[in-house]
Amino acid sequence: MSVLAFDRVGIRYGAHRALSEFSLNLAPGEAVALIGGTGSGKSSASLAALGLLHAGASLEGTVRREGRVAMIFQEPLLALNPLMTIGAQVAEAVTARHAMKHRAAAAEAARLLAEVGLDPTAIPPQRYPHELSGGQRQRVAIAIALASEPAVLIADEPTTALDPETATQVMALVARLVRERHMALLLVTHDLDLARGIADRIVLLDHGHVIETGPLPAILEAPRTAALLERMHHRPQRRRSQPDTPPVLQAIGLQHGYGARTVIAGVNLALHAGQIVGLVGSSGEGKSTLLRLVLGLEHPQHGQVLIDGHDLHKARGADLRGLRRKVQAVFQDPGASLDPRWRVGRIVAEPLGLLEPRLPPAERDARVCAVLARVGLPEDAASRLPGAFSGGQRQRIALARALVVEPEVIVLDEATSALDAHVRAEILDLIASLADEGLAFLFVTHDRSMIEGLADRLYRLSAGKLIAQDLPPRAPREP
Amino acid sequence: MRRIDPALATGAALTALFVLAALIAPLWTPYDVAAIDIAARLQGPSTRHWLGTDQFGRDEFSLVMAGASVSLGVAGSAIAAALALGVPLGLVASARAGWLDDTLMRTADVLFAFPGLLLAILLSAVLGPGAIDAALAIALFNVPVFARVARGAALPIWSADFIAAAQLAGRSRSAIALAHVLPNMAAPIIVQASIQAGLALLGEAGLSYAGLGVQTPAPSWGRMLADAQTLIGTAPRLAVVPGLAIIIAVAGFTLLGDGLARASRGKGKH
Repeated sequence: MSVLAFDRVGIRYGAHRALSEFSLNLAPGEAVALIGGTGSGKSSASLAALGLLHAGASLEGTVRREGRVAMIFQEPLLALNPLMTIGAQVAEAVTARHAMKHRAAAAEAARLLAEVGLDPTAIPPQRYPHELSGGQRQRVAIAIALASEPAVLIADEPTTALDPETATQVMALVARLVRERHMALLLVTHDLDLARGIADRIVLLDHGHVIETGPLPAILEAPRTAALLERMHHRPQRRRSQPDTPPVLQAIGLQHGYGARTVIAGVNLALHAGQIVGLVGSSGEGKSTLLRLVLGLEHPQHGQVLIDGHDLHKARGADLRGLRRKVQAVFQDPGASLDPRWRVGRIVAEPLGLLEPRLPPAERDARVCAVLARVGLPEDAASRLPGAFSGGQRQRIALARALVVEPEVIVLDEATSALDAHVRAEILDLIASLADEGLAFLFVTHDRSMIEGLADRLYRLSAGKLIAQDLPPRAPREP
Repeated sequence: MRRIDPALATGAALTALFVLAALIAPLWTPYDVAAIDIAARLQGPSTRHWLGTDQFGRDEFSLVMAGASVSLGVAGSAIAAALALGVPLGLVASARAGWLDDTLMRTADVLFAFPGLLLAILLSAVLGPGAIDAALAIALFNVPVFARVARGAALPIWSADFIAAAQLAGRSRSAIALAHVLPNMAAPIIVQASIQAGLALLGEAGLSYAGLGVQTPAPSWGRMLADAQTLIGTAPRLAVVPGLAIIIAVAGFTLLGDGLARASRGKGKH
């Protein structure tokens, strides 16, 4: 008997096939990890299990459910209502399952919150989500999932927004709950280490196809497993940087807030030529604000951002353009960071307006051509619109735009999270080789395992402050 | 696989019919609209006069065609003027949050609070009746509509990453507004312009009906309707024909606008 069964499930979004011939049976009490990179179809499979596919998706085959299916998401902050207390949110889920009196629901909610490790004396149910840490929010989300007494729990990247210690604790909680409640678990992740401790079986997905399936640890011996894992946990070769030069970008005592809320509470950061500095942190911890301050898109309430020793926020006119030339950025979603109505050549040439004196048109075109070739785009790319390119190619266009003025620092805001494993590995190699040529990178990301393999230094932004993180010793990692 | 939205196709066809009639009328109509032929007055539809003749013996079909020209002239110039004023105001409001935005939008609120047609009647009464005054009046109550729509369309574009990228490229706020924001807000503005054109046609017909729009001898659907009122017992056809013409033109623009709105939404989704 199985509580969740996929029978030859296929999912298409228009012409794009996200999942093909996917079959999987989950028995009660069984834990299966669905592992794959971005674009592998693993999230589509979990949405199909919940019956939550988008309106534009078409489903082939059947998904059979015995009993209820509940889900916990990657970003607990987005899964919770910011205007309701955590107790009320859990109670709401309880009454959705069983009609009961307000007081009984509140008592049940308190019991569930205690079950997920939120001790009522320390974290009373009257708290709001913003008063909790990332790990505590994820525990609330788990309590809400438990309220429906599910037979199957789906966890989609439940720990990527958390620091490693909290992630371990949350996964231990999930493992305990699955065991105690005899639930089936479908863990959707790109992180093999996460699956290792908890899963009975592993299903490896790549481009919508199951490429390997089997119990741990035997599956790790399969040749296709090794190839996929190498791509997913790609670690580009890097030369060691020499940080004896003065910093190219320096943040000193940065503070910023909105209204009464302090978002950035005293950040000091120095970036040297050829360095890659990683920055991780949950949503709502101020990563975007910090980036906007460092890029000079927003003025800090206190503190300075120095580019080669010059204050970015005090510069005006030609001085400001000179500093802007040195710091460029690549954003998360290449679909949103390229003007859909501009041709690629014009997009990439836009920052050339920062150069003094202005380049003659022929030289501009030559520069654009050269930089498009540098990021591996076809020669005719300049005359096309961004819509004619894939996500990975668009991100190369965004990178070309950042590179065209030969900056000293590039800020990457989740610049690889929208890319599939193959493309991401190529982009990471490109970033590593640019860093070896002396370019400095500030890389903001959710993906801790990826940045650990790339960065020279790693920080976590928590409560508006930077906390230095340990990096594993740089050696080729065995899968 | 591309399915054609029936409402969009109908709207486009009706609008094309109206615009075509309006464009041909100044060059050619079956009969001269100013030629009075009392002997042939109040005839029913025939092969010579497709829609019959009016109380002065003028060809009704020619009158409807000429009326289309007048309607398009008044409504079209009113919408063009409202676009030319409203869109820049909305763009400026979106670019400069603060007192300027507040002032512009509160002024728009005040204009909105007046029933549009009443405002137009008031203005025509003050400025005196005539085609240009009617166009001015219709333009005036359309300015806040376009300012609103433009601001609403521009605000989400300002927060897009390609705007941040343009700022990093050293572009000034006004350069970004013109180069990035304006082209990307075209779709909702075109949709709104089509819907407002339908309403402007209706406004023009209403003003002419009340005697505040186009003056004799220029033909106009609104006045044809008013003139037909006294003959409604003997020749109801004279009221039905301009009435149908108004319905066709207004429905054409409205369906076209709705269809375009659906089409642009659908494109955004997939």
